[in-house]
Amino acid sequence: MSLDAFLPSALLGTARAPTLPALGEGAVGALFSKLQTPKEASTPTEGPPAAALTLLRCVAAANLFARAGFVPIGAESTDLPPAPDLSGERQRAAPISPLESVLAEQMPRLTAEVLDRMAQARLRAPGPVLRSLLDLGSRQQALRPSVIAVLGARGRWLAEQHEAWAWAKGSALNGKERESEQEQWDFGSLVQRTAMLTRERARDPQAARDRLMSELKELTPEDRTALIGALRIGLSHEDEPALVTLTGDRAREPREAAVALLSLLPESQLSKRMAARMAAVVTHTGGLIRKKTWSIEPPSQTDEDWSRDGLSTPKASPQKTGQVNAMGDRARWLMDLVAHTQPAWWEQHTGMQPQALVQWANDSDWAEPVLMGWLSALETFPTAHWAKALHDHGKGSALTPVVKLRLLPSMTKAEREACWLPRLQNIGRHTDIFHGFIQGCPIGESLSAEFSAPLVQVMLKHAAGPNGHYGLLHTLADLVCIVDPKCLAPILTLNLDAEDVTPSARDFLAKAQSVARIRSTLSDWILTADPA
Amino acid sequence: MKLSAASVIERATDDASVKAAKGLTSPSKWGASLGFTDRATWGACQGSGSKPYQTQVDLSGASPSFKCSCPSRKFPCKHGLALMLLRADNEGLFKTHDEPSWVSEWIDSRKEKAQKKQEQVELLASDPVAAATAAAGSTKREQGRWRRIETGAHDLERFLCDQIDRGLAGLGREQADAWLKMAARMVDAQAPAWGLALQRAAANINQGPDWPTQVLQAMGQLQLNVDAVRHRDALPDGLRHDLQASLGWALDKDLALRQGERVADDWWVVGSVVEERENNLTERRVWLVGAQTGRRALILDHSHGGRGFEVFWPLGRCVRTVLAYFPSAWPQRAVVAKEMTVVEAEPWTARTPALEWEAAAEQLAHNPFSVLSLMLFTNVTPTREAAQGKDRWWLRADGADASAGSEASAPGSAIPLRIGKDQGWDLLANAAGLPLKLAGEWNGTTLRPTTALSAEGLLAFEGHIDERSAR
Repeated sequence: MSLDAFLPSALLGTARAPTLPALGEGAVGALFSKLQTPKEASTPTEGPPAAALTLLRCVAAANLFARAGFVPIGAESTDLPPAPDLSGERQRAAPISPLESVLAEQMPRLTAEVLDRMAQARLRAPGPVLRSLLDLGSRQQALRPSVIAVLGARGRWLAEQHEAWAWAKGSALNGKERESEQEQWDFGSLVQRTAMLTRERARDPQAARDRLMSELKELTPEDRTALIGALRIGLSHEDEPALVTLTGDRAREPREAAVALLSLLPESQLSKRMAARMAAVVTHTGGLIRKKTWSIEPPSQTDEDWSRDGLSTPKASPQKTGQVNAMGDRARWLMDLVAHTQPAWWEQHTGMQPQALVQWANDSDWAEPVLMGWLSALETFPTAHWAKALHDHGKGSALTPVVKLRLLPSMTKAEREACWLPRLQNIGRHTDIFHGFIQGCPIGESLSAEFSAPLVQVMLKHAAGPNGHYGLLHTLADLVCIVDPKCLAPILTLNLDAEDVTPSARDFLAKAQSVARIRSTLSDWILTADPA
Repeated sequence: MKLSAASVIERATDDASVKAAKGLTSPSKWGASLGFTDRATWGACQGSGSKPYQTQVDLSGASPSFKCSCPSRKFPCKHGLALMLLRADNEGLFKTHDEPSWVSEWIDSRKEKAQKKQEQVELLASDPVAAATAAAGSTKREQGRWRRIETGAHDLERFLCDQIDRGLAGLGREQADAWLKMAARMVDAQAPAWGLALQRAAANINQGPDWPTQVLQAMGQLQLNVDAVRHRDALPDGLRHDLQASLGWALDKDLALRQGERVADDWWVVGSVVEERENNLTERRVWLVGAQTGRRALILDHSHGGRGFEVFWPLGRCVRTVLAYFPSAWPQRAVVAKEMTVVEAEPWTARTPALEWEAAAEQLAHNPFSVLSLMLFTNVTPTREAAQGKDRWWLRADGADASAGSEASAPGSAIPLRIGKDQGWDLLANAAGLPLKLAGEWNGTTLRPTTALSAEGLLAFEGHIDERSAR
């Protein structure tokens, strides 16, 4: 029973609208009639207005009838999506509590490591944390593959229900869930479609390429960019025609992705044009009798294919290029050319090894654009011995130690740590090198035990003492994420209440300790998760 | 009893307490003072002063009781939590030896108090003269309070009728001040629940399209209470106690222990809802259902100033104890009359949804002042409806009813849930479109889930609902 019948009088006022309609039938109607009968004699005449009192008493009764007579609405008024088929669920549920502790730390690297380990152990996220994980994936794109890998059938079903989780959507097929790669291509999320295309490229590069090219028009620029990246697998000269077509894409990102792949093909027309451009600027004198002397003369103008070949860079700011002094056009063009040329070309063209080339470039009038160009080239064409040579021998005001940190991902782990180790003992105030350790360590990898042990000692020495470096304190927990788990003991046993631990350092150290505890016990709960 | 670290953390009042406690788990803080026996754990924690704080935990009951000499008003304090965390993770630091006097004196005095209380209750139950003497004293105070309430009721009725006489359409923010003044008047008249109801109604004036209905509902309920106060002598005893409770009149727990029906059972803890109230008051509602008797009970506690609650109820577990119900026309609220022990028991079962609604109606018919009912459902499925940018959550009971002849038993019905957005998604994740068991508080229009049990485990809904995202 609703109160609608009383609202007109209640709103207008019983002084103006005293009459109430007849209400209800049977016993209910009889009660309302009784309430609306003139008041009993005990009510004083100077008491409250009778009509108002009557209305309030009727409302009181109606309230009770409404509550007592509550009837749920018909279920057809609400939608219930089909439940997922859990019978094919292969992944066991991970325990809730340790996973909640991981998520509570809010550290992407740690979260990725834990989720990837769970996926390897065929564990899925249990129901109570699924929403948190999907929200996390919505906020942090880099974590999405790791989250998807542990959703399980239940999580994939949940992702179907909320538009904010569309990135994980479409995987709620069970599995029996994915009966064919075609289904994944047709219905999967971008991450899944890219993974599917990557797998197909490994099996049949042409089929994958043809699939992509046939559906270009239906794809968004973001989709095209990601899927073009999948062609990197099994890349060969047979991909050149398709990639050349893609360099004509109307959006910038897909064009750049296609150009990046073409530049990986030494025999592609694009690479040949680059080589020709470079050959025009890197020339030598002598050679027959006298020793060759190489010199660099930057281009004085661009050519008609410059932009299409991905060489049109906007006027860069010093901060962006890492340069201390702004460059002129010619220097910028030179740097651009060098950045888009495979480092191997230099060895082929000059006959010099990387170390010698770097030392030669150091003495050149165009040292900065060449060195900075090589720095960028190595990010596109990572080549370990080149990265080491540039790191160890590159000079110039632009190649600061911080800038050189960009070379670390191109090196092997052993080379990286060999670069770092001498610096570790002489860090002084340069705690920003710790950022380099973090940046240089790919997610999912840890530092070697040989490097981790002295690193932990240095970390604690510089963080915990009265002269603790504030910059280091902020990165402490991230550093703990990359330390070899076997070397975490000094952090775990650190006495946070020691006299030399300052209050400002205590919170950071406590968080580092918490992360260390999680990493050191990871194997325990992943291996001991209950079987499904 | 030894607690795990997780169960210790569960007892913390807030995250700040947990964080502070973890900072005190360094053994150097406690020195050689750590010890335990079967019934107690203790230690002396060095603080900023010269004397360490003496912290102790009584482990002899079903849930631990904490005591500390520090000045913290939180309960348990960070020292108590740290002590138990140390015990959970590092028992080797604790020595088993005789309790120091400051531990044994406290625990012995607790046992003595509990014993005396029990004896007092038994005495009053068995000695009519003693019971009558005790009752007479309280009757005089009670009568005085009723007189004040009755005076307040007279003023309230006049106020309500004046509002209706003039019409609600003319109400605005200015008139809301008059409502607040009347609310204060009700508190003075020792009917604080009326005051709260008027404040809430005043807050609804001109808020949202349904405000006239909401305000009118509140006014009708207040009028019902006013009429009940006037006719209280004609009410049965149980219903008069219900009326007292609806006025915000704090009920004496001894009343339940002396006069209340006692029910021994293994009680499933199916809900624990903590809400902040006005004036720094925290209310906790613990819902229980008897595994054998099927009886339902509400344990209502209040704490002040951010302190926690002394008794811990293990959500989703079963405790064996005796409850004493407060006298009522529909006994629901109860107190613990015997020490609790955690036991294993058969899972709770529920009636059909149709019978649940009938029982809720029955409760209201017996006690029209009741506000909340515990509802239990099995084989229900949560579902979501996205409407106007908000999530609305429903609980579907598809084909769960076998009884015929009732609208509520028609196959496929949906109940509106009162739940925050994140909680709604957590519930959906736990169910994943499959039926689960759910317990919740029903307020006459919406169901607030308290626990949900599925193949993924137990999901508990505690604490504050963000009303901006709820429903």
